[in-house]
Amino acid sequence: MSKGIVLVIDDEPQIQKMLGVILTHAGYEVVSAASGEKGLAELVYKKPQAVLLDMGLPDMEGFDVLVRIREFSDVAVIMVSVRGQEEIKVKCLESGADDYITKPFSASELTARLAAVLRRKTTPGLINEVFDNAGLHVEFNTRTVLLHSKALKLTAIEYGLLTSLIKNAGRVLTMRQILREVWGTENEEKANSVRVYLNHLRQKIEDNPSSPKRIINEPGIGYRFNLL
Amino acid sequence: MERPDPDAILARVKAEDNHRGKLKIFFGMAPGVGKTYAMLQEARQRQNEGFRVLVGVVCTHGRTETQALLEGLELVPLKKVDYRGIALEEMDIDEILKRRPQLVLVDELAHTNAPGSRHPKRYQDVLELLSADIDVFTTLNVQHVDSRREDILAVTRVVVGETVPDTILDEASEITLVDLSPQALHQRLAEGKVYVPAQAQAATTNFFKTENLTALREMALRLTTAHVNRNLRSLMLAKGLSGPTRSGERILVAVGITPFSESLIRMTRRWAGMLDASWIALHVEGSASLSEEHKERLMKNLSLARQLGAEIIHQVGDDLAQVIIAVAHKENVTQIIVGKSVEKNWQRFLGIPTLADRLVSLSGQIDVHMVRISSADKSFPDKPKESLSKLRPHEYGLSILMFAIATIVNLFLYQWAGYHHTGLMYLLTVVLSGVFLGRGAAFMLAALSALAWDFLFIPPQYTFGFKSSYDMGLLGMFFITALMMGFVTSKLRRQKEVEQKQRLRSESLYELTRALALSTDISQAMRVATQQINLLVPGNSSVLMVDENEHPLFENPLGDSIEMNDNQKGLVQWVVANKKAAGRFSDTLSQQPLMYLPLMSSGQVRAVLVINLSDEKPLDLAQRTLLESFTALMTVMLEKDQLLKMSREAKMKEDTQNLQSALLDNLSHELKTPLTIISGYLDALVLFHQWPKDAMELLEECRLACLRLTSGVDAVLDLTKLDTGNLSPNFAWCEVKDIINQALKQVAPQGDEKRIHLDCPQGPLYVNADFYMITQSLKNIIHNALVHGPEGEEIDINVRIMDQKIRISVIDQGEGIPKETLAKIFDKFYRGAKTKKGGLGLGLSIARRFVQLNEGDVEAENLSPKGFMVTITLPMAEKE
Repeated sequence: MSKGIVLVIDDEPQIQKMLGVILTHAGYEVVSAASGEKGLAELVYKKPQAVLLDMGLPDMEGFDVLVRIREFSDVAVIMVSVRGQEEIKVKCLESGADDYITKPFSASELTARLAAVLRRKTTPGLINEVFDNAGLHVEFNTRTVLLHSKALKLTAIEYGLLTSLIKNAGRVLTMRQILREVWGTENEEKANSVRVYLNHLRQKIEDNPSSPKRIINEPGIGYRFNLL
Repeated sequence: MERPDPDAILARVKAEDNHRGKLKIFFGMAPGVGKTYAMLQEARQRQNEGFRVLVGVVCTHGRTETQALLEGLELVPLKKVDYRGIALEEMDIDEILKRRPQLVLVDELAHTNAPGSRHPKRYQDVLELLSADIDVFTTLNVQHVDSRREDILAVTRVVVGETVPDTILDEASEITLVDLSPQALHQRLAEGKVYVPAQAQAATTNFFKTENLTALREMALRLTTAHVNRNLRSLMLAKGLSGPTRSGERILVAVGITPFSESLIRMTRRWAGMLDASWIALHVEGSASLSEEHKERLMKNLSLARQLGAEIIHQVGDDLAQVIIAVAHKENVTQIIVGKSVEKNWQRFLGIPTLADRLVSLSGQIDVHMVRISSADKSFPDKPKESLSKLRPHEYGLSILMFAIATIVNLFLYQWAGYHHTGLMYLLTVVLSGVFLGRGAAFMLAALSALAWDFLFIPPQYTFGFKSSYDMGLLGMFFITALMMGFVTSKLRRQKEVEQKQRLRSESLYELTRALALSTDISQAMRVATQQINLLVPGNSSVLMVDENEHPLFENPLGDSIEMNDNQKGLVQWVVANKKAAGRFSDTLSQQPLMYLPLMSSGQVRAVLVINLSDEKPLDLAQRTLLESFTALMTVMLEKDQLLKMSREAKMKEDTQNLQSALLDNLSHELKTPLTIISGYLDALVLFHQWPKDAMELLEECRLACLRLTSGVDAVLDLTKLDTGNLSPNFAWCEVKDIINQALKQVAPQGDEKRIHLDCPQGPLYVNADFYMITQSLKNIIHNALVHGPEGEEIDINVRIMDQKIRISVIDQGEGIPKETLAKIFDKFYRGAKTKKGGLGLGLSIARRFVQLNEGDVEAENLSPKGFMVTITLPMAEKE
């Protein structure tokens, strides 16, 4: 059974074909479009579960395509870009893109991202649930956090950060998104304190804080909470 | 609300300007207090601290203690100057500039240089040394300060010849008062420790009287305190503290041709200093023409006012009071100071308002101060006595001619019409002379006509007597009427002349403005300006533009081309370097035939205006002020041009950068797309198919090659961006361990992670930097260590905090790099001699440039006995 339809919007036929090979093998049905306009049309007709959107399209800016998509659809969108476009990536993530991937990428990285994004789309929210992953245990109704069965003392901000990260597990969060969710502000001047608190949190929830595996820094973008 | 005065802040900035030397004045009340001694002591101390000190000129007057202090200091030999066969010795400023010391000692600031020296006064030499970024120590006595001259005269009855302008005290960053009690000074005098020239013995005894010294001492103290106060205030302003700011007072002093004016100017300067006010010296040019002596004195007065820091305003007008009030209103003046002329009693008696009365009645809100100046030189006329003081012979000749013609006509007329009509004929002649000639000529004609009428026509003829009292009355009436007519008409004519002058001024300014506005580029504008200058002052003029490297473009003069020898070209260079006028009518080499005026914009000399005057006559006031207005306009043009050029350049740079950045994006896309495809298919092959072991190994090799190609492409793109300036760091707080982990992750496929040993302090450490750049730098350095270090041995990464800096060191156990090539390893495409195959030689070069963009540095060193260490140093982020 197909895991779902993926729309690939990319003007390079070779990339389309290559992505087609990988995604088909991974169990997805693939629809391709060579321009932004065509992509939007396919989105309406084929109703895909996810979109791989190249940032360098001939007819429209990738960002504009994203905005048009978000006008009528909450389909999962992963941007495909090259390195050095951090500002645009942040802009897209804050305008509703679910994730991004940088060329050149490995096939396993792509399929993992896609799976994570789709999983979040089908099971959104984790409120009143218990989170348990590789020794980190969180009970949201009692606000209890255990690491390898040892109770952790978290401050209010640290706890807020952790819940927000778990809720978005696998997905990159921009500094502004974290600020909005945890601090209730978009004042970017506080970005430095986000970094400080995240590192406090790392000291407490990472097995080895010197080489963090759960809270991963995405250079120039923000942070990602990885499931182990 | 008090507001810091921008000028004061600017002055502060100027004082702190690193490119200007600092002036320290050792200040005393009288000779013999030990200024030179104190100066030498401090200079020696500076020398001991490692400063390069030169002695420009020091007068020890043979005192042994002072002489002893000179030992060990480097002396610049004095320059021999020959003046009319007398051998004089002066400070050799060129030699000092050549030797470029950090500090130079220049004794006796008020000294007047030998004629033919570069500057007439020593203080001007000092100013030049300061602008050449040389610190200066100097000595000065209070009696030589210009604004104190009057007081000194009043106290000591000694006329001081050599003075320095008060502005030089403002220039000083420090004034040290060398104080001595009068008693102690007397003792030194008695012991013969004070140098007194033999011929001045008598005067000196008078000068050194205790009461004089006490007064002088107080004056010196007061001046020093005032300087300290000013410094304090500008310091407070610079620090943004609200201290006392400028009082908002603005004083206007009316300056004329009299010697009173000089005292008036000095007094105003003192007053302005006390009130901390700005001040204006106004000269009103009336219709009366000035003698050379008057002109000379007026120029002197105005230049004194300029030296003392006044703003000079020159205005043409006949009604003194009205002009003064008009200027005062326009300039927001709060106080007006005028000299109190000896009031003419008859004027008051007749009820004709004096200048004072008129000023007071017109002044409104403005305070008017009448100042009586004592000890005036009574022999000097306080007013230009027109017609009498200055004879214009041709006018008198003409009036005599007119008189003769009128008399001849009357001799005929007398036959027909009788003597009454001849009187009317004379009256007509007087009126005509009033219209065309000066007042004096008209008066003379009136007197001559009255006499001739009586003698020739009024009966009895050929006598000066009268037949009837009626005729006597008639003659009296005739004389008074003639005088009045002559007076009124000549006044009308003068007013017209004044208007004419004013109109000519504004017309020529208008003409220049219009022509400048119409010129399409700066060269044309400057050419137009020189044409207008040639109309204003006889001769030819040219503008030499100055390029960015402060080189005047001699080969391309705008306007007339003036032949210049090397000396004159050197003087142009001097003007550019010193930002001051030189040549004729200036303080520097005024014997030179040419005038050199700097045209400045934003603190730089953009062009030099060279004027070759065709005649010897000095410029009159109107010409000078117009010339000043012209140069001001030209400066505005230059400034405008400069701004335009800058904005154009900025636009061009932006365009190029945009183009380059688009090309780079395109290049990046073109190179990365095939790489993505290759690595994608390789992944697909590995992930989705089963392969025999050897085939799997081949695929793995392909994947590694792909990764290497990717990082090679990244390196080349980064370097291109660095070279074209398309890369600027995106500063953010980065955790050092994040950076290290990211870098390790990126090198992992190429090396064995287990070989790397990390030693890092507990807890998060932050640097404010661009995450990508630093990660990339560290990755390159680790990669280098993995490739060039001995195979299989450990690599250490140490993180240390030193002086608020974070040092990340990567150490391998290899033999390191030969000392002579150590410096080269950060060069682009440099690869060591024994380097294994592979690598572009870009890694370390990019690493260093990335880190340097982030305000850090990368260094490499060989360790003993073995090992090689590369260290990234970055400033630690400030804790919130």
